[in-house]
Amino acid sequence: MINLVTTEKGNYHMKLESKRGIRVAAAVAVGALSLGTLSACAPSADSNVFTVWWYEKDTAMATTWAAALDAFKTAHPDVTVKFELKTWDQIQKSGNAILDSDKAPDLAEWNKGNATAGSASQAGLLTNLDKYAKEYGWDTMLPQSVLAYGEYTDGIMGSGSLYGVPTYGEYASWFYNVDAFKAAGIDAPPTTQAELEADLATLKAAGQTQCIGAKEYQNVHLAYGLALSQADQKFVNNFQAFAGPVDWTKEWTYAANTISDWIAKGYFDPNASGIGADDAVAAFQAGKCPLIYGGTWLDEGMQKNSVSFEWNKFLMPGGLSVGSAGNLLVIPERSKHKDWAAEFINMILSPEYQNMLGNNGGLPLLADEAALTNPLTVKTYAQFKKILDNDALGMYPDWPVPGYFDIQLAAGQKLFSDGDAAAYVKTLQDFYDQNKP
Amino acid sequence: MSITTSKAKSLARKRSEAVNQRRGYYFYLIPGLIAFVGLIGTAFVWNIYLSFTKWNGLGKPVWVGFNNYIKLAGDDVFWQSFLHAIGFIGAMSIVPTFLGLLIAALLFDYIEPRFGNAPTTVMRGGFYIPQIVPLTITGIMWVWLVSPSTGVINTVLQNMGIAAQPNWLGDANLAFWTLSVIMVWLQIGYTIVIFMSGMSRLDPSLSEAAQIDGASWWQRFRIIILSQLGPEIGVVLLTTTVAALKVFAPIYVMTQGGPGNATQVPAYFSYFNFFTTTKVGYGAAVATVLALLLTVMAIVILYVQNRQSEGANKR
Amino acid sequence: MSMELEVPMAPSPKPLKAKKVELKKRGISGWIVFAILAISTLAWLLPFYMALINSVKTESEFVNGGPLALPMGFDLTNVIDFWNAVDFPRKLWNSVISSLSGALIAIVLSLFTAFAIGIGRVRGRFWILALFMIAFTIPQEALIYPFYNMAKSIGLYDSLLSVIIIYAVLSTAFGTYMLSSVLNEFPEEMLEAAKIDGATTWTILSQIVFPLLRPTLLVLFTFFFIYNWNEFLIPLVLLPSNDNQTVTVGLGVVFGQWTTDPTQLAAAALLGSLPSIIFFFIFQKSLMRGVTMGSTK
Repeated sequence: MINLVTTEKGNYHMKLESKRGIRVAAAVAVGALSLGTLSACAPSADSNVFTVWWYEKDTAMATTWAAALDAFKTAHPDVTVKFELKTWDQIQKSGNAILDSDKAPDLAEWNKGNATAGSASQAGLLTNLDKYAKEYGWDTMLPQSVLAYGEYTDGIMGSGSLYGVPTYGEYASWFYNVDAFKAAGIDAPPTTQAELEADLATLKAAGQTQCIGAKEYQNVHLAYGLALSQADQKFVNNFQAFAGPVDWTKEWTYAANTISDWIAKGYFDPNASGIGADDAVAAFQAGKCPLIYGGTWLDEGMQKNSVSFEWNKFLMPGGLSVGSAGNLLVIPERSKHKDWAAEFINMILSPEYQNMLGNNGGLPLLADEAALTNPLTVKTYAQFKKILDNDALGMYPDWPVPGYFDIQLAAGQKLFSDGDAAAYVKTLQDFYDQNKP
Repeated sequence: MSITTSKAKSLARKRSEAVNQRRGYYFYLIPGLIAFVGLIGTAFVWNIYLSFTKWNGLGKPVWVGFNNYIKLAGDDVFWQSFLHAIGFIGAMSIVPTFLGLLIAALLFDYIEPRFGNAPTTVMRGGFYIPQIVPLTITGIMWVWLVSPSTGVINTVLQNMGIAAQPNWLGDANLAFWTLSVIMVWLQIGYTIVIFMSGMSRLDPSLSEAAQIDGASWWQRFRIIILSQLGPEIGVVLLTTTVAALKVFAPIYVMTQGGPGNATQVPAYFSYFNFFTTTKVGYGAAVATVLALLLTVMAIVILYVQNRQSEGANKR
Repeated sequence: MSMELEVPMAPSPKPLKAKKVELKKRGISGWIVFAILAISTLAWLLPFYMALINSVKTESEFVNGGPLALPMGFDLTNVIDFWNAVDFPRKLWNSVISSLSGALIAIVLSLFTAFAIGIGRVRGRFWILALFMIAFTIPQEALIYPFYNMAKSIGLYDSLLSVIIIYAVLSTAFGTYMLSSVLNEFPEEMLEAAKIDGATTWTILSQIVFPLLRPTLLVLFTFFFIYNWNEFLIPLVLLPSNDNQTVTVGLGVVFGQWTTDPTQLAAAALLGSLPSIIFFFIFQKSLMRGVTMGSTK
């Protein structure tokens, strides 16, 4: 095509016979248009394409769901499964836009909470799953405390119709390098905030700091983890479901002050605010830093990347833990194959795949404990059960209002950069107050 | 815009006498004009409408009058973002113009006469390459180069035995300046290319005369090159200023406006409101204000170019 | 500006100095200036060099030797992994198709419009040009949300066609602006001669104006192409599915989140810049011409 416009030595001699150029140009323009049209029409033509999106990568969920999808293909040889790996950020930022178009997938992993699944359900972009829940018995299989993460009324999470199905759990805790702790003279993990502080001081004296990728989500989780250490379910209810006023001088201020204090005492890498989450995890796995606050989604990586030291986990000492049922599986309202999608969700909830999830290092909701062979899962599963029994899940801090995550992320990065705790709390409070319903 | 020059006007008169059926030409205007008004015009008017509404992108927008603009006036982040954009004029416009002039003059007037065309072209190309590569890609590259833990720059510092390694993009006080340096890296190729082309139109006899008079290179640069490159300098300053006020992709890729709002700019702030907090009306208001500001700048550009081309014609 | 008037007729972009002119004496100061500029040029290219050497290292090589060490071998695993992980050929194809179609349509549209303005000298041409100029000063953020809604309402959301149309119209505004100035100075005699022969406007456009304008159109074409290629916000918002993503979006956004493994990032940066750099080497002269046209008009 480029030939058409190749340079000709410019001259003043007209060639009246050179009609060719124009004809080619016109043909190319028409061709370009029809090409575009073709590619625009192609995807919607076929009716047995089953489009599935998720954004799990290198996690137990990704491995398990991929296996389930293979089984689904085998069971439905006439169906063309079209899988796309998205990113969390894509769903967070343009999720509703996609759901509100004819490009919506047939089944998708979706972020939970008011800001995402909530606003989508309110706008009628997600299929009401009550019918399928009854048909497959999800409403009785899953405990109400777990189902609540998929239930929304007027976009507020906690009760109402089911719009998304939780299929796994997750919580955040401290991962620690047992060898390094021992070398620094710490024999048992801390059980109170004071002990945790003391251990950090001991490690610092031994020349070691905790890992954190404060440029990314880890700053949000650590702050909320510290806030929850001072919290009870009443705080969670007030903060997450607007049941009552939030006292910003308490939990959140404690969290901000603690981080600010730890920065001053040198318990973090001084450049933490420029470090990415994956870099921090890699540093922990390489044994460069003995402690990191992270979620169960790191478990599989810890197993896979043969870590050369003994490691273990302990919960953030104090009240509640950051965590919830994991991301939801949803069926967009515009899904063309809702029955297949429901069938797939049901597969994921079946003992076969719940056990597989557990043995891949994930945190199943309905696993048969006896069938779990992975020692790590046995340990985390027990810890998770304990959290559930104590009603100690504190959810995630960004759920209350849309866009809150990015506000917290930016404010957290700044907190790690300048240590200004008051400014951090004010940013969080202002945005919350301006945007709560 | 030379069509408004006096010379062009007289040409036009002549032509209009010769061409009686001007109407035949209107037909050629139709496709472009329809496409433009239909797409850009509609979109822009739509955006202005949205700026008077409250909308989360779903359902129907709710008319709220000037509320968004009133809120905007009292929003610190908004004002900060404008301050940063104005700050980026330094890194994207003023510094590259100065450095570009100097490098272009050295290449054109010093290197080329001594070393020939080939090294000149290669060097010009080298400076220009950052302009040609997509910003998202150069963004990835720089994020990695300046990463405090695995980055190239801090590795060099470490090898040199410097313990206090800067946290280039993670430090709220440093991020703006790090970005500024990267912007200079990005922009300079553009200014060099334009200035070199401008120099090629200068009358060489002037320079040669000056040389015979024994003027040093620096004097020649100041007197002859600078004084005659007025049009190019003006245009480069204006277009790069527009670019600085519009800057988006480098922010999106490298800092997302952070830490905190340390590198927030209007374009990203409006995107952030559209797609992150889904305050579409508010984002539209930010975008509208920016658009109005830039339109004023555009009028200035038109005016300056008009004046210049008239001046050029008189000469 | 007067310097541009010769553009359509004299395509040779930069007759800086005639080649036969004797070179001046270099002297010590000459060599010093040369060295400074040469080093600066290399410094400017350093990021690309770093991407190159690290993309062909293995991960352990990177961990042990750091980013500065030269690669010991030529390990293409990262590049290939990355190539497959993001389905790079697909993204390339999307970028090529959208940039090329957008540029070609824009050439045709701006030729037509500029023909009416520059040769036809239609009434109100100043205002038409002023209107078009707004297109490249308005920030895209002020258009993107309506674009998204428009695309959705006519069923072109997540279709390359929507992006092509937008590219074409945005470039047309710019192209009209450039070409009008060029055509404004079109040699009068030729038009007169044609009119005496009773030529229609179409004959004038297709047989007189277009052939002479071809070099300029090439310049504009390369400029549009690279401009479209580098577009970011528009494809980011309008093309959500992986199959339709362009190189800039696919690499810049998605890949950065999937891994922070430095050697893989280097591979991504390398693959992402290569098409542009190759394009630059092929069309360098035209591009330089386009940049200059764009700035001084």
